[in-house]
Amino acid sequence: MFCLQGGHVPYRDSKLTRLLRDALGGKSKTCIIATVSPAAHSAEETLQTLEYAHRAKSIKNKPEINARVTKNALLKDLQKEVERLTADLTATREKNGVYLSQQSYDTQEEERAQLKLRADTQKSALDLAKSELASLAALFEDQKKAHKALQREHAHHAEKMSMADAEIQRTKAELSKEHDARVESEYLADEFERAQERLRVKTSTLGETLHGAKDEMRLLFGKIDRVVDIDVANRSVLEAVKSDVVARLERLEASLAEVKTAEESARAAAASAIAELEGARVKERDALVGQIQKMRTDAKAATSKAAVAARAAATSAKAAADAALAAAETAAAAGADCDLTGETVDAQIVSLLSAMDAGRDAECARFKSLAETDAARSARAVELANAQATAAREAAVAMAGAVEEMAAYEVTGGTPVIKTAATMLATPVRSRDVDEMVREREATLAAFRARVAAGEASGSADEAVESTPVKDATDEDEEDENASSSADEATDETDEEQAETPTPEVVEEVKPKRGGRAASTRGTRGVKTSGIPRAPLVDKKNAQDA
Amino acid sequence: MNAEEQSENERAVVNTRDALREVSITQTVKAKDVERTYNFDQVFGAHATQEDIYDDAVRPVVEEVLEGFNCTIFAYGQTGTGKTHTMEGYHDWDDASSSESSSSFADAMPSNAGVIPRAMSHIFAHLKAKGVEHSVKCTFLELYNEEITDLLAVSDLVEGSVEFANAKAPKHPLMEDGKGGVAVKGLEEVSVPNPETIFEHIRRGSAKRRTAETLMNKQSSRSHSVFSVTVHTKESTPDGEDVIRCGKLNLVDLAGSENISRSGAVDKRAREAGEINKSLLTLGRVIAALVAGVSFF
Repeated sequence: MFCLQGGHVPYRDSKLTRLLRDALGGKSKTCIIATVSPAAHSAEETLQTLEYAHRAKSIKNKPEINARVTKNALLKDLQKEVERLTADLTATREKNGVYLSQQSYDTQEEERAQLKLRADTQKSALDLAKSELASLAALFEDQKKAHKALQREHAHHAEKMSMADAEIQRTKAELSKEHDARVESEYLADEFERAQERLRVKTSTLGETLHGAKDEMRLLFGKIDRVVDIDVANRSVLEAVKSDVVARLERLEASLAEVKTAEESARAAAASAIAELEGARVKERDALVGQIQKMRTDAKAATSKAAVAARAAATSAKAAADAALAAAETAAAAGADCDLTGETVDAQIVSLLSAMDAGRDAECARFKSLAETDAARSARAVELANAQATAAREAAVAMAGAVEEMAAYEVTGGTPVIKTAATMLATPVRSRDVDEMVREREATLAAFRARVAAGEASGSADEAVESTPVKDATDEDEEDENASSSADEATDETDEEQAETPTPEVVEEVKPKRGGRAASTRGTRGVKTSGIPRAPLVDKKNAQDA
Repeated sequence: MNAEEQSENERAVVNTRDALREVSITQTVKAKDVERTYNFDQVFGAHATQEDIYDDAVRPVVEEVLEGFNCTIFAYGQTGTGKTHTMEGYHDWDDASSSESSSSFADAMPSNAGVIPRAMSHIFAHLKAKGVEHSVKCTFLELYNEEITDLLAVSDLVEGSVEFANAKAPKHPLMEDGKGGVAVKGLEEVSVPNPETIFEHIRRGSAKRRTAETLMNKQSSRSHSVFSVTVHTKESTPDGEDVIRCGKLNLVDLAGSENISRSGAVDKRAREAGEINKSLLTLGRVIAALVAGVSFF
């Protein structure tokens, strides 16, 4: 099957191919007989011929049987044609010129007339057309001009269009960019929303935690308030304790002064008594000596008298005299009976001496008792002082404990409190002072006791001994006063420190934290202030104990 | 091989193997024999007779024409290889046929008669055998330098006077017939009642053919000739209507395919060759285009 698949076949290039078009790729059956010469010198042509034929062999025609025509129609057509042609032909042949059959001539004449008519009409039509053409030409010119103008306009518009295109392109690019940006921003917005959501959740949780923290804070503030209250109470208790201690110390000092004065008076009494005793004893001794002298003289006289009288009984007399002397010696104390015999004198002297001894003993006992009472009193004072000191120390310890407790309570914002505690802890200096004082007091008391013992040992040495303790006591007092004053100063200082610095600091520290809610919390604080402080009770108890 | 070639003692380089339907040509390229072989539908050797060729190659074609097909037979080849001989044959049978009786003509066909007389006698024999009503018309035209000459035109001009005929012969422009075909204006169409008439026409037309002597062949035909036979037969359809069956046979004797330089044509002859070759070249191009179309298919 052959098909002209769009390829151009140059049938029209030559008459041969035009004539035989049907034979080449058409509906005909075609056979090519190629003739060749076997001669060698025409081999090239032979080859070409063979090649040509061989190529033509591959052409496929599409043979079709010609359409059959009904005989009558064909015959009619053919007959007419044949008749006309033969008429013309014979005419031509016979006359050797233009010859037509009459019929043909008539028809031709007719045709010619018609044609002439047509030509005339056409001529007029042509004239009309010409005029029309002229007008049209003018119109055409106008149109041409208009066209040119339009062309110019078009060019202008094209330019504009290109610009607009560029603009559109740009705009498109921008749009795409915008679109990208929008998508990006949308994405960002989405992200932002999500982040916001997350933040909101976080914020809510934070709010909750904040709320919890606030509650905790409130609790802490309550605690702080309580601690502050406790601190205030502690301070007041401390103050009370201090004043108590001071009062006690004052009382102690007063009692000590009393003791001192009593001691002094006792000493003075003792001294006077001793002086009296001395005087009495000297007088007695003088009297005794005088008596003894008198007695001696009497005895001498008696003896001499007796010797004279009774030299035999001299020995007895002499013994009597000895006895009398002994009696005189024993009776020296007893009296002024000069008439007494030597034995009585002696007895009197002895009794006197024994009486003196007894008096001295009694005196000594009184002294001793005095000393003992003094010692007891001083011991009591010492005890008191010790007790006070211990009480003070305990109070200090308690206070330190309280401070520590306070510090423990104020874990969060309590540096100033800790400072306060530190300053309060610094107060043990005071107790140390008290200890020193007590120790000094004890030392002086020991010295005093030693002195008393010394005084007890030797009566004559008493006078010399007795003057020193007074002096010491005054020193002691002064020292006590100094100590107490220094302690007072120290306490004052600490009080001042405590009173001035810590509380505002706490408030200041707390204030910025609370911010706008300061008033309300303060209000709660005010409420909380009424809370019962715990530590002061213990302190008070301690103080009471003290 | 013609006498000249034989006299020049030429070597034969073409071998034909008729049974295998192939032609091989031996070439000496660089002192080496190269054989090229081409296959065709039918191959006839040097000793094949006109009758062999007609019976094997043309007879089926002619029978198809009688069936109603349009058929064309080309004769193509180098000048002097026997195209005209194949198509027309030597004309010495004219006398013989005239002397013989018409009834015995078909049987007594001269041995050197070509395809055209044999086809005509075949057609008439066939029509006669069938006994149907028929009409046979034929045209015979010559194409020379792209001009058509009617070889069957009724003319009192001196036959054989080439120059005269060339000058006076009316031009026959080609016209489209409006049905896709091509018609030659003013072409004489002769009705042929019997084979004898056609032989007469052929003889007349062939005499008109311009043959100019060239170096190659004294009888060289430098024009293309187209002999067309139209056969109308009447048939009766079963419903009683008469129908005309129409078949057309073109028998084309092409001009020599040799190139100009080798043919030795000069001046006018050279121009002739150019024109001859123009038609041939166009034919070749048409064939090439069709082949290309096929190859694309």
